[in-house]
Order: sequence, then C-alpha cells, then structure tokens
Amino acid sequence: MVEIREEEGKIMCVFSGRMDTVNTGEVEKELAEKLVPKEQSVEFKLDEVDYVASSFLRLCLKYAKAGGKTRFKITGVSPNVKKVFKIAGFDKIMTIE
Amino acid sequence: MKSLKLKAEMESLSPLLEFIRDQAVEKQINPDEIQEVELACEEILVNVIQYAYSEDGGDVEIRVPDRKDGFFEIEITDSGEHFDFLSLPNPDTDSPLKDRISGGLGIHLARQMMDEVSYQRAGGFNKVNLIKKTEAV
Repeated sequence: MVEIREEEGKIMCVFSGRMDTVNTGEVEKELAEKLVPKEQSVEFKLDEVDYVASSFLRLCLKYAKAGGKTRFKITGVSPNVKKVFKIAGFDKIMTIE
Repeated sequence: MKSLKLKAEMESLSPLLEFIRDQAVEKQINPDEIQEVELACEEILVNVIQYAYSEDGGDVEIRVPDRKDGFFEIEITDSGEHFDFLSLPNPDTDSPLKDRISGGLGIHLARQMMDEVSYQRAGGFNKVNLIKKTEAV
C-alpha cells in the first residue's frame, strides 16, 4: 500500500490502492516507523490511488504541517481524489499536482 | 428495501461498504457517483464505529429503500448514545495551514458528496439518512 524510498535527496512515498480508513491506519503506522523527514522534502505519490477518505486527509495534514508548503507535496492526483482535496480546502494550503 | 446489520466495529466497515456498492451497482448508478456515495457512507460509519457505543459495543444497520425516483438513499442506524455529529460545526477550509485542524473533515466530506444528509433520534436509535440524486433511473 505504500513504498518508501529516497530519490534525489527527497523521500518518496508511493501509495497504491484505496486509502480508506482501514488502509490509511496501516500506512500511517508504516510511515511513523520508517519516515523521518528531518530536513528532507517529502512527496506523496498518488498515481495508483483512486479513493481517499478523511483519514488520509488527516495524514496529509500531519506531514504538510511538519514540512510546510515547500517541503511537502502531493503528486499524481486523479480527478476524483483532487475533488476530495479541494472540498477539504487542501488545495489552498498544500502543493498538489 | 434491502438491509445489512453488523457489529459496529472496524472489521465491519469493508462488508458494509461492499453492500452499499452492490446496491448502487444494481441501480446502475455511475462509478463516480458510487465512489462519492461510498465515501460519504464510510465517513458516517466510521463515526458510528468510533463513537456510538461504549465498551459493550452494539450493531450498526444499513437500509437501502427501493426508490425509483432518481434518488439513491441510505439509512444508517445504531442504538448507541444520543449523538448528533451532524450538529458539529464544519471545519474552516479557508484557514492557513498552521490553523488547520483535522476534526470534522469526514462529516464535511459526507455532506459535500451527497445532496442531503440528515440526523434523527427516534425510539432510542440514531438514524442518519443520506440521499443523492443520481443519473440512474
């Protein structure tokens, strides 16, 4: 559901599948164990994700607060997922591509 | 009317949503709308699972009335504590990042994904009704 790797000095988190409440709980644990952002940028790659629930939004908010708009970004967002981010008003506070 | 009653616990979330999805597919609702219905129902169900009951637990029931007027309706019922989470204020989606809080996002999403979300307390039950106008006939 999430693959974490370092790429060009930043931490890439490549998600796949449904980011519903149950799955997000699992990936949140995994990120907490493996991801230590420190000074590095973090990217959430969502090309393989077509469903996100509010639990995943909360996870994004947590890392956005840690990294700010410059050191945290979300990429590969499908139209359906983008709609959810927009409803939450996250498009105003995060870099979403 | 089709219905499914399961224990209000996280393990029930997936079969409950599958039940809703099956009903929506049967009514030939388009995939994007199904996903919106599913998301709204997930958010309500998670609230029920997390907050309706104390340690003794209880059930949550989904009913899908057989409407043929272009509306897809779902009723979510539990017999837990009287708690109208729909009465809580919406999150401020315009505030800067530092002021953002995560509370209330789920219910906000549910409201936005559906045309109507309402709460009723009757006979010791909490009942949330979700209605979406669909393109299906």
